[in-house]
Amino acid sequence: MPELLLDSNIRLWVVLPIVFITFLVGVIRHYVSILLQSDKKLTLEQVSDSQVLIRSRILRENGKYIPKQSFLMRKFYFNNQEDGFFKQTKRKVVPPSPMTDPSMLTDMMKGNVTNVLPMILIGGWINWTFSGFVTTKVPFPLTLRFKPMLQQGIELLSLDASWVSSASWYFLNVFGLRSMYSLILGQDNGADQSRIMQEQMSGAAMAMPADTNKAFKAEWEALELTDHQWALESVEEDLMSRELDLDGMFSKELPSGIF
Amino acid sequence: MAGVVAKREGPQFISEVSVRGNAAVLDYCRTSLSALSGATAGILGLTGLYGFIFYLISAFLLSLLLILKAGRRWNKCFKSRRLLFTGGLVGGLFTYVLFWTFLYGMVHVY
Repeated sequence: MPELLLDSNIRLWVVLPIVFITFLVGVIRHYVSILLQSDKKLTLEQVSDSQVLIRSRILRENGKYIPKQSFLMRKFYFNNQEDGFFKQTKRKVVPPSPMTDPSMLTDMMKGNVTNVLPMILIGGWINWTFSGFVTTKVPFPLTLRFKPMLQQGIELLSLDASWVSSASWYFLNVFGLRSMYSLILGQDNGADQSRIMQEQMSGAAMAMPADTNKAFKAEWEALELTDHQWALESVEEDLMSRELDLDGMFSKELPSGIF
Repeated sequence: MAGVVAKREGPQFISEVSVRGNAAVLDYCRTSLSALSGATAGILGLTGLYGFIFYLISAFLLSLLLILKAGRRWNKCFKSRRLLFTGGLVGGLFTYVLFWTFLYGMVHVY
């Protein structure tokens, strides 16, 4: 494998600048996405509705730890035929579909613009600026099939496929720096494209129940189906029959679930 | 008041915040390790298959260390131990390849 000797100027003026450009563009994208975040206007009613739904869900999941009477009392409050909460409350809601609601549309557009467009633009610019020379060598052997993809602009037929051009170095940077962003910018950063794309794909499935009537109806049905299974039925015998290990229970430091 | 006795299973009260925090810590460890081992591989001049084997070895060592740190109370922090082994391997691979190529280029090509 012929070892090429490359000019040091390439290292100084091509490799390093591409790294810096990719990293800084990512950081800028994070801050731009923060600035462009549209205000989510929440009314008091919306907040209280979502809290009611959460309370009902908690009741369904943890109902087995409270006595049967208490559970039935709460279920009655929600599901009673005449004046249960889910039966009574009808909200005047216009369900916003993604096409007609302007705020959701602009959100989608903003997401697309801030993420995909810079990558394409800068990739094209780098390809145009830094073209015509070999940039670096990837340490692993690649087959000849990759040559036209990775060596755009270099017209040598017998050159190893491991010697790549600057465009492929740029894309390698983009993919590699993705996880570095969560190191440096903390969680929930706006520079991590893969997470955002994942969210977009799953967000289409779980459309926000801005249609609270439907959510109430679904919750009512689910609560109807829930039965009270008293999980603490034999709790007295359980506790009495085993050795109670109360050693560490009242000390100052409890082992927490934080790794 | 006869209800069916429900069998009590394992820890049911899971704090969302803690789960997310623990996953973030794992991610942090994995990314840092990938970056450092990539730099090491580049400086050492590993090529081809050796490089990937080095990544797998270092990932495995990280998993061992994490299990050692979690100790006997891994049950309290993680749902399953498999997550400690395989969490974030592919993301780490990309970071590893990036740093590997970068340092290899810096040291051996120029």
